Amino acid sequence: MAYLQLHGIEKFFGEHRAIKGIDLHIEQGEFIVFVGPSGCGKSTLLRLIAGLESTDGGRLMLDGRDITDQPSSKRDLAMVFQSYALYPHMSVFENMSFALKLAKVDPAVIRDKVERAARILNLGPYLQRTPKELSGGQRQRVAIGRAIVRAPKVFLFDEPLSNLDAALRGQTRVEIAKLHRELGATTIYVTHDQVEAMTLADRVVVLRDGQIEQVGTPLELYDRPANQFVAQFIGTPQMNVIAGSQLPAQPGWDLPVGGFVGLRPEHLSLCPPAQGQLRGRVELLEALGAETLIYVGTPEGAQLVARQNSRSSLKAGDEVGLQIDLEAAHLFDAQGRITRTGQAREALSH
Amino acid sequence: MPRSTSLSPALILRTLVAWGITLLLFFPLGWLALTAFKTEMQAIAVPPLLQFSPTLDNFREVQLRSDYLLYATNSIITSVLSTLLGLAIAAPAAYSMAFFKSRRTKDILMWMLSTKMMPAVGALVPVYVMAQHSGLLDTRLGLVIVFTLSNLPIMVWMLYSHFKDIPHEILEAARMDGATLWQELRLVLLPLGLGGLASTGLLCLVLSWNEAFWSLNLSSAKAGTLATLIASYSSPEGLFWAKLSAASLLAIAPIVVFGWFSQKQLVQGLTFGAVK
Repeated sequence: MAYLQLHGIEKFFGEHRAIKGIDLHIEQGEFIVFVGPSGCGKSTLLRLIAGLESTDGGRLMLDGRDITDQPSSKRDLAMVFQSYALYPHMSVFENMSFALKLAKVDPAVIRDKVERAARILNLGPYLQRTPKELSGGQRQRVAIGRAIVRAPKVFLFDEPLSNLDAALRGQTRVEIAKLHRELGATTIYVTHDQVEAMTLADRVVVLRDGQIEQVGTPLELYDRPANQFVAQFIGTPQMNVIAGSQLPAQPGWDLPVGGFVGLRPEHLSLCPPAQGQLRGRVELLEALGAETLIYVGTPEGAQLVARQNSRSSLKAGDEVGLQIDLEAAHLFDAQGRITRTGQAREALSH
Repeated sequence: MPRSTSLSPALILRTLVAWGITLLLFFPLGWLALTAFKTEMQAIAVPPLLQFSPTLDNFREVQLRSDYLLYATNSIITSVLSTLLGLAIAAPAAYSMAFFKSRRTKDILMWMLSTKMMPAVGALVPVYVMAQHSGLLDTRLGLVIVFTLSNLPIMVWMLYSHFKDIPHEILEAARMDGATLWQELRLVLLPLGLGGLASTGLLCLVLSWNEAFWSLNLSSAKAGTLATLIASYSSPEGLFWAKLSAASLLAIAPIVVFGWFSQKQLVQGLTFGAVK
């Protein structure tokens, strides 16, 4: 039986149905990431699990216990907030030991646990400071430390990195991944950043409009998206999606009327204008060093991005041809449901 | 080398204006303090005397004639009790409005404030009759109830705006850490809201202390506050300036001293900022 189970979870805000019957099973020790565009309900779902919002339907089971109607304080979950939410009137030590003190843990044990967590997070020298005297990254670590010392059943992270600058975000992301490997704690992590989702998750839950679009490992979502939304949400740059009518018919494709073709940028390659299934004009080049992104506009009005792992001598305005990796193309019907999953070359090779 | 401060005309002007306003505001109080230590003859002397040998006779007279201590005790009891009672009612109200906002919260706040817009005299007769029928006329309890009710809208508003500045995630974090409602209030909200509670309490203490309308109308010899004591010094036989000043000085002294010592809390209450 799964460790944390969500059965038909519902949430209304007034008339608005924010969460629409979510079913999800999470195993012990898993790192689950909720991802989706803003307003998709991912934070609300996390707050429902935390008990900070009350559910309007469905059951929540944790470790065999029904926690649907339990207050947050009785659920044994720890949460790291986007704004850190440290207690400003307490020192770092007091912040980290607050939960244990409430649980009436022996002071010697508290000291030991806090010091161990502080060592893991490099907070040793700051234990007597107040949050005011710390940098953003340090406050973030205190917030994580406050969660760790409790050894809760599940860690909940609500967009914990969005207040950090890009460099620190990357670094903290790696630290969180390491921490999860060391502690092996069940974790639910909310983000709108699909790179965080891809790099941290054991399984990613893609949400839209209060519903789950797809659950899977990061590469499953990348290689076998359930629909056009997931296909385009996962991966940077986005998957190219072209109306079927803008492409010459291909042998072996059974493209539905009004359907779309989805192509990852790495499945498009450039060739001389006369060759290839498509032709167009280079609109923009992004040379990122290891790879180059080439933005091409076709005469039919399609906008495409191609990725190549070499530098390019092309310039904006050049006429080019585009070779499509037909095997790798995904096909979607007019409603965006997948009708054919592309076979990526990498996947075929083993 | 000492830093040379440039005395720009703007700075000089600003300093002069600031001093002028300060003196203007302070003058009546200063004059009151001077007059309290004069004899009645010196008090009405023209031109006014600035040099005289101070006397404490007026204070003695005030205590003899009208039992200052009784009025002072009434003032202290009514203002302290109404402030405590007000905080006990307003704090939970402000807490729920600030942290569990509903669609009607703003309307309720506006309604509360609107009750302050009616002149108090409009409610005088009903309040008087109610006080009479419940035996609360000229009792401290009656005044405590009226003071509390008349200050409540302001207290709720002030506390609401203070609590609103406390990020609600901090309270949620406490809940996640296993704090019960009571622990959340005592260990997190109280320390963070202390400045707001102190400045609200202080303001209401001052308002209750200075309250004259209700205490004049609902109390007299038994439960009268210092405001009624001062009013009694304007009599048909004329004003006794020196005694009136002495009584006034005695009436404002406790609250001035109190305000002086709670300056820090007041300033803290006004400058409590975000945490991020």
